[in-house]
Amino acid sequence: MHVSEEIVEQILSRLPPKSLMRFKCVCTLWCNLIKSPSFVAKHLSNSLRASSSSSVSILFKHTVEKKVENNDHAETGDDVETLLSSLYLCNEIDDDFDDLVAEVLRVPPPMNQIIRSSDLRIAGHCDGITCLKIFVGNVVLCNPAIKEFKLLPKSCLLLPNDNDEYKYLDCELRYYTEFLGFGYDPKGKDYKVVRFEVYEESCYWFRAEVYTLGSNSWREVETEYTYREFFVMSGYCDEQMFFEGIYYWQVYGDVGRCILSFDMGDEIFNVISIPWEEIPDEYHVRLGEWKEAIALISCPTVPVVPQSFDIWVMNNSGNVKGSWTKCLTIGPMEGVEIPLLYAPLVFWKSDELLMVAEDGRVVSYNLEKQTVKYLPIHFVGDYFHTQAVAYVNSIVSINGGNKLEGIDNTDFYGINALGDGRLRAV
Amino acid sequence: MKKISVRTSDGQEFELEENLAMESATIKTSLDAFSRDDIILLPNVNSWEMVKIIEFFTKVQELETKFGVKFMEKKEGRFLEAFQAEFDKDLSDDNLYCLLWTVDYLGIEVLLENLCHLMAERTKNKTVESCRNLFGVQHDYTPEEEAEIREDYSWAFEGPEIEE
Repeated sequence: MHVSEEIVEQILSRLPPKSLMRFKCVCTLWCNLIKSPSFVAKHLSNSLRASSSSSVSILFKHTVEKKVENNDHAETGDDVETLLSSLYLCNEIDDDFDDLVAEVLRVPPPMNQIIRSSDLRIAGHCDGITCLKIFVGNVVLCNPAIKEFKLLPKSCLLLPNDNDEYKYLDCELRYYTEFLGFGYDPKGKDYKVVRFEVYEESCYWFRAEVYTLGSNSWREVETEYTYREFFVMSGYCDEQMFFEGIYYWQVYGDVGRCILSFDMGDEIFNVISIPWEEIPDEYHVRLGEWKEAIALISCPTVPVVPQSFDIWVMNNSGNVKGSWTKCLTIGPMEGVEIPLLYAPLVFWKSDELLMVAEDGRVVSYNLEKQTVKYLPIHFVGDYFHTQAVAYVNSIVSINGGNKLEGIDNTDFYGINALGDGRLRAV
Repeated sequence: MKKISVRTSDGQEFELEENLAMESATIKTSLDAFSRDDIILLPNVNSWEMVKIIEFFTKVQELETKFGVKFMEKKEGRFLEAFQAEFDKDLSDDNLYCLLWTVDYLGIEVLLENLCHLMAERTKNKTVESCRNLFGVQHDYTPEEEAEIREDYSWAFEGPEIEE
């Protein structure tokens, strides 16, 4: 006497991705079930529910010392490498994270040879899929839980110096910066990547394109920001996130630093201001998600003692966004045990914030108890290159595989590269 | 409280409280069709399974009285985990599988969900072969097809947590 297929489905939908991939081998019925879109959706919904109550996975991008197997570093002169590591954090544990082991994500070449932190950026995540920016112009989607990777096709946008139309302008375009965002479009029911590029010179150009997983291709999107002298972009904008159908980036606008948003469904850009008048000088803000809302965490550019951080939450009144309410002040943190904290990374629970601390450590700070727990993740180099995202383990497929072919890395390591990561368009 | 009598496949009789009996959709259907004074025959249910089911509901009542929480409403958290840790510790994989079948047959939703969760915990670190044995699944891949899956997902077959 066998249990029904519904029961089998109920059991399987609670299993971790690794087990499910292995059990595709059990029989063809199980394999077809595991691959079916309705099962994938059911599994995802179970995972999302579990992550809000019991446990969550964190993906870190960090630079570490390379394990030296031989001393042959004459070629690059580098003794560091940039890795993606994942950590599974359980809500219930009140003890230290001493027993936790971070798993280094095995990535296909050439991703396993990335040296500089600025060569790899996490550019959004949704439903267990992470979008990665590698070197310049390469976008890789990846689901770490099922070890799937996919290099997206090349951009469909013509750079000004590729396009004869712009030659009459007679201006030498110095550089462009590229921004990416990734999320789910609930209207079109598809995963989308948005890329926009801004060209800097005496005139500013703003071009954008969207990739959909369903079509596996890019198409340009019209925006009112074309030809507008609007943005001077910072190459360091790691402060970005996807939330409820909209992607947000922190950028420089003509009024200073503000937030640019892109609605994945309507494909429209918008600008949201940051309440700088209420934030102390010498402070910067990071975007994040807190208690199911978009939040800004303001922190000093240079750590000061005693340390304190403010959390602002965006007010959502229908379609009108842009006003913020200060919800919480963390600190002042006093206590010998608390290390110098540089920057917040991500909230993995509403009262636990991952932060980068001095000496290259990553800690989890508990807002209520005001205590710190160390994570088995460390980094070298500048703290602002370290990223962390809280993701859910899903089996959503991106129609990828375990190989990557055709990543373009020649431009970056050549003489065209500028130190801060911007590409000189030649 | 009215008591409902049931007889299991091995001839044992149990007296269930009416509200417990009504948790089973199958028993409820029988009750609606026949007189409540008759004994309900359950030829597909073994006595040890009935004992376990009664144990579950007794425990639920105990916990509800103690914590003042409706069990159905608080499905996550330590409340559930502590309970589950006790419930299945003396059950083998095959026992659990049989119990799962029986509870599905009896249509006891709330216990079914718990058992699925327990079964998932038991299953997640199994090898493909032991999974086939437990679920009584017929192996229907050609050797080439199976080899291809094992190669595509080789990382899923490695790891210290996988039981032999």
